[in-house]
Amino acid sequence: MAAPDLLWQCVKNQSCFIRKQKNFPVMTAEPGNLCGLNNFQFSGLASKKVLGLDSKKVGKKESIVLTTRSKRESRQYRPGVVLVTTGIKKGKKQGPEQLKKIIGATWNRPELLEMALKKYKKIKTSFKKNKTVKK
Amino acid sequence: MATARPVVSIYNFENPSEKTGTMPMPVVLQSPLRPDLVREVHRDMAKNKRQAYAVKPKAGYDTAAASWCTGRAVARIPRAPGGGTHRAGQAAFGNQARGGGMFNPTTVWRRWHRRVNVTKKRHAVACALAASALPPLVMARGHKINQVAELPLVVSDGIQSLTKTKQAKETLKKLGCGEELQKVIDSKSIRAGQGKARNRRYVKRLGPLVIYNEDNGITRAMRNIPGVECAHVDRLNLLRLAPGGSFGRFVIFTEGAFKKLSDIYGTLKSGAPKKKGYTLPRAAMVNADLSRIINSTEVQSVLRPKMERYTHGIKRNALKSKELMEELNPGSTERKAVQQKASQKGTPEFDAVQKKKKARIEESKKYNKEHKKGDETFYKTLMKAFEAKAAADAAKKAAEKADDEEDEE
Repeated sequence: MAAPDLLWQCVKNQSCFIRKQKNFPVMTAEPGNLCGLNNFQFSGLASKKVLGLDSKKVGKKESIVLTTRSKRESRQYRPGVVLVTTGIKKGKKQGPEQLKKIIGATWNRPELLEMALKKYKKIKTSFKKNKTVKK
Repeated sequence: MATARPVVSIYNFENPSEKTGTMPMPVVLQSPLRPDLVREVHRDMAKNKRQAYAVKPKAGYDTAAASWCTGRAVARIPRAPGGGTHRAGQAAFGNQARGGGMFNPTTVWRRWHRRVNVTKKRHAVACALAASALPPLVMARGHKINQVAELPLVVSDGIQSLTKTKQAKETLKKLGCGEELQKVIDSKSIRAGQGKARNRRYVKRLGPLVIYNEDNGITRAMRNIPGVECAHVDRLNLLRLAPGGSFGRFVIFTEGAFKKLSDIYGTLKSGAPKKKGYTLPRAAMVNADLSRIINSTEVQSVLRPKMERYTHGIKRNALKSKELMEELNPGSTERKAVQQKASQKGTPEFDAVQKKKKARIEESKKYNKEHKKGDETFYKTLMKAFEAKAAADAAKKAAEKADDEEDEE
């Protein structure tokens, strides 16, 4: 695989995932981008170590999904399989612990752990359903 | 990439879930990535299919107009001669005149085409091929390749003998291109602009490019599938490999074509057998992974220890922060406490202050008694010094006044 820095230079201005708005930092819709920002740090396309945390809705079931990049050489050229998704538990204690284990303990982007925990909280609050007001 | 060449699997075109073999990746597909080069060459190559357009050479000048010059109460612009028609006397020739020629008429001898150096074109193609082998670049270009088993996608030669579009479509779907093909179909829309009235009514996204070696029907099978294009390995076009100047097209190779890439382009050492005098481009930086270079033992072992930079914290105001005041002016808090206490009756500090005050007043009284009473006070001595002069002045004045009175009389 080409070097991450080189790939980033190719992709930073020219990618179908880039979303631009006025007076707003440049964002990306690529899978594996934790913050959605178009940065080398967070890039899901360019870097060898990728971290993404998203909510997924299948039918009625809402789940939190962690995306990481497989380290296997053989998988780097296989687009369908290179990004590995793991479901994260929705329990108040279990979820963050699981994240800490996967991200922190296995040195898979430990510097993003804090941000991932914050995002996890936000995703959970997004799952809350507002009580409907009966008129 | 100086590492060993990765091995690419070849998929059975009839049953794409099984592999019929493997092949090492041709060195072309490991060419350095040069988006700038591809963009430049594409820009110039794209100009080569242009058709000339221009206004008629005589446009606006097909009258015998001449200026009426000065003296006739009209502007000096050339006017159409004659009479008996509205046209007579109307302005002509100038770009501002109705029916006149345009400013700077477009000409057919405009330089429509661009020459691009052959080596440059070849480097660009090599680069574009390399980009098509990297999933992030193909994804970034917008191709939906999540279902595709592997990049570069190589299919056994049987696919070249497909004759029916239906079969071709099936094969592509089984290879994982279904999402991509659907994207093309969904993207068909009417072109914005005048092109729609000029036989370019519809626009749609581009799908996969199928590169083959022997056409046994594949071009005809694939040609009616929206988005799919075919190309012969020997005749690869940058305009197809990097549409719009952006590399990373989704490419499907047939086994024969993939093998032929090595035969055409060769290696960096051997040069390209089929392209006389051409060798594949060399990277400016063989190992472009900056973080690996920086963190390598060779580099880290020679670095000096990191400098400690003094970072200024938030500036604190000593007048507001008692701790900071104490830091800067040691003893100030104690002094303030003492001062505070001194205004409270009954404390020893208060008594001390009062004592000092008393002593001060005593001193003052004593001094005043000594220096401010009697005849030797400052004021009195001062006035004494003046008294003599004052008396002299008064006498002088009296004398003058007497003189004046005398004069008046």
